[in-house]
Amino acid sequence: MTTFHPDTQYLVEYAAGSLSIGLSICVAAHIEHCPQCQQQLSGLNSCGAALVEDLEPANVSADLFEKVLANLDGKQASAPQVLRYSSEIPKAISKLVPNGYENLPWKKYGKDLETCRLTVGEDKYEVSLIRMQAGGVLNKHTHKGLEMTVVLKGALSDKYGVYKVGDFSACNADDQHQPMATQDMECICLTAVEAPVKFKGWRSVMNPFIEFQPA
Amino acid sequence: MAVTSDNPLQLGAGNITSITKAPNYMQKNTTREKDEWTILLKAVAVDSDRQAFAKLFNHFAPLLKAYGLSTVTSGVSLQPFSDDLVQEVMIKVWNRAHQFDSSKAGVSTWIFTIARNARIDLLRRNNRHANQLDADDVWLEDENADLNKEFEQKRTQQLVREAISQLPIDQAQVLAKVYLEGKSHSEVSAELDLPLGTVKSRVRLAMGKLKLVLER
Repeated sequence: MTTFHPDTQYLVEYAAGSLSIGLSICVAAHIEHCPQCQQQLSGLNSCGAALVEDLEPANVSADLFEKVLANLDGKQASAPQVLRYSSEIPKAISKLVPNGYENLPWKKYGKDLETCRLTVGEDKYEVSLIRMQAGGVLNKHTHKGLEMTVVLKGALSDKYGVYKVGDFSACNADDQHQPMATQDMECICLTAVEAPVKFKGWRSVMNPFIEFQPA
Repeated sequence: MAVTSDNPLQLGAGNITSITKAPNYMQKNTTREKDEWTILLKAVAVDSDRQAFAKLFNHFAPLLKAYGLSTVTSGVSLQPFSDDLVQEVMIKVWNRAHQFDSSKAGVSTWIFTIARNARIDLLRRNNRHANQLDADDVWLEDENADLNKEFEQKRTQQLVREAISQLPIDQAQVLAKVYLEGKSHSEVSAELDLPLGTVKSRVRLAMGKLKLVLER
């Protein structure tokens, strides 16, 4: 069971398909672990269906049905197989992590922290995986825009509490925080960041997000 | 131009005069209709029944086209691609009919999620980024399966439709922009010149009335 959930705004935007793909990946990674949000999402999907059902039907040209028929195979396609290296990896990024976390091109920053950027096909949000050693501290940082984080492995704690697998956090620009991996095991999380993250203090010289800054 | 931008409330019924009479009739009618869609979709799945498919097409294609025509987000309109949207969705309905599980969602909700994902892919197909991910990877199928919930499922869908028609115009307008035009809350806030907080609270109030927000 997860304790920290996405705000209604993000669930609605996700259901409507109006949330950017980078943020949607984070919401999807949470939902996979959260029966409560799955239930809420299916209601929000039915709201979309009701709105479409209430639209004024548009004219469909006579030949469109013929075109569709011409494209139907005699045999129906079988269900797409979700091949996942491990169930630790969220479905939404399983294509991007085909050989497990171990085989990603991690970049090391200091002794506690590694990161790996994922290419998701958008430039407004940058999606990365962050790996912290047990007890590792992510420097105190602020960000210009929104930062979403979902814990995928281990646990993370900050001033708001302890985040376990599936727990979700969304922080805005002025929200300075210092997440820390719990002492018992390494922590991997998924994050989407809107704009460059700026680290404070002397360790800013090895600001791990500097190369993540959009041009 | 979005078809819905001037009149986002093409929500059909729901005027005050219908309140006294409509529910009884509507409920009966819709329950029958819903069962009919499920039966037709199963005929497509089991027998590759093209007549059943034609009936589904006749109902859903004009709605899917309207959905495509109403889409305008980040200054991009899907209008030129609305026939493509209809085609892609209806072909997927045919191909995936055997995956439909009436314990997870009603037919129209299932088709909505296919259409939403097809729309996302159409919008993303034309941007400059390499797309390793498809919408189906990120917008996952409804996982909320419960074999005993099929009746409840239909009831929810019916109640949601009725409740939408009763929403105050400012809330219905925001919902239409988010779901039908495909706009984020911030886009809606910029377009309507409203604070983001106002947009958020209108959506939240609407979802509360539709009983779709969980108290936690």
